[in-house]
Amino acid sequence: MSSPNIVSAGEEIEITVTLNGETKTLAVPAHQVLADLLREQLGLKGGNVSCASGVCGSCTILADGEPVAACAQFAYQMDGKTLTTVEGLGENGQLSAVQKAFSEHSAFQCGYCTPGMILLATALLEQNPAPTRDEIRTWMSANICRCTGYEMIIEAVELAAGESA
Amino acid sequence: MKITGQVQIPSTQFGLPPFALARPANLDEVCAAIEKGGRPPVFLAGGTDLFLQFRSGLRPEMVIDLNTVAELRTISLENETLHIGAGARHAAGLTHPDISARLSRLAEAWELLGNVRVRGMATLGGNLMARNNRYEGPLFAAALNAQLCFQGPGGAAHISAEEYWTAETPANMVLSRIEVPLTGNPRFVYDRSLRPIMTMALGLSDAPVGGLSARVAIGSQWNAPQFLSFGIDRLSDAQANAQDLANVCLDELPDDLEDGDYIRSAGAAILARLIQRIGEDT
Repeated sequence: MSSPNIVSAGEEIEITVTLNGETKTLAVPAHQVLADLLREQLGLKGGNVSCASGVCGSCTILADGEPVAACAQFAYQMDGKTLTTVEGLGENGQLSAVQKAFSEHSAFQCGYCTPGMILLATALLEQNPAPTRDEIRTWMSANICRCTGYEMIIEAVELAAGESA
Repeated sequence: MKITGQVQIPSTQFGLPPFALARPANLDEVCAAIEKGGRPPVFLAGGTDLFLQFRSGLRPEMVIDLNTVAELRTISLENETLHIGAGARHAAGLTHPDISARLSRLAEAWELLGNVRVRGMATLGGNLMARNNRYEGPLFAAALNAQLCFQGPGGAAHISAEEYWTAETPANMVLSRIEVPLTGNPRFVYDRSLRPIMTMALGLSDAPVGGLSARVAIGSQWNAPQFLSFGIDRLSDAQANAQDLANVCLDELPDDLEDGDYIRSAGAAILARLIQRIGEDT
């Protein structure tokens, strides 16, 4: 039986990620949660942690374009991936189409879930630029808004889809 | 962790304590890691369930990361058996051409699991091994008469999806793949309209001795999955008497189920509906 690579407890693993368009090489211990790396080590506090169990989606980021809960991934698992946080959306100080639609449509109340919702919607429109309302509802049901402002969130995604068409 | 004076505190309230991490490259190395790690071994695949366990107090000495084992993610069709690697993400399974072509209703049912984030990360193996009453993978596997294939330092073991719940399960082994037999023209339908009170999968295949054999798997938040089976001479007859057949079948459920009366009566209605639906595909 050949021996697997084993990293000792607390030992750091070197990873390279493309984070919001910038290549970064980082040293992370195996047990470091991705949300902690982003928020505590890199100061990217746009994404919020709520359930810490991968359920609510408020910490959603994009990893290679796919939505993932940053609270339920280890940082080392992101090695080689392209990551986008809410800070990485938009260009030249301008909001992205989804951010603009959320703002114009008041698609938030307390705003805690909003960064995750915006990134989730961004992933949807990347994969399906013209989703139906049902497709939007199904996709966006991955994340929870405790203020229950779902109607305006769905309308904002529809608006963003129309804007990007 | 941050050191603040004499006190160690996590960098957030969500920080986790350190653990050793094994990153095997193949199944042989997974077995070596199982030998070296704690008991029971703790595996990481999609992480959706593992994180819940961490938040509930799991503190393993070692985590064995299965994401580096490519063979655990493969899905293939060999000798009329569908081999689904335990590490296959739900999103990969439900879109796989062999599964869509041979078991389209399974692909449709699979798409109902979790949500887009969960389906992108979580694995079929994780769903099965979580041994969670309300998870739906075990129902799919049992209705399709699937075998669970385990690998460990001491060799291999194969048990049926049903036995995984009803018999002693392999210890200190990793679930490597799920084998779904495609002989006998298997058909599959699923209903989750009453989830989490009850979900139901029905599998039907040609019996070797003639007629059809049906397998019913019933899930519920409050009960371990229940498995029932019955034979049918002809599907058209079963459809004509679907409600009677369903009543008799559900009557076989044990008496001590939580909400047993409701599950029997509503379950019979759902099973009758599934018997009708499974006929629509044939």
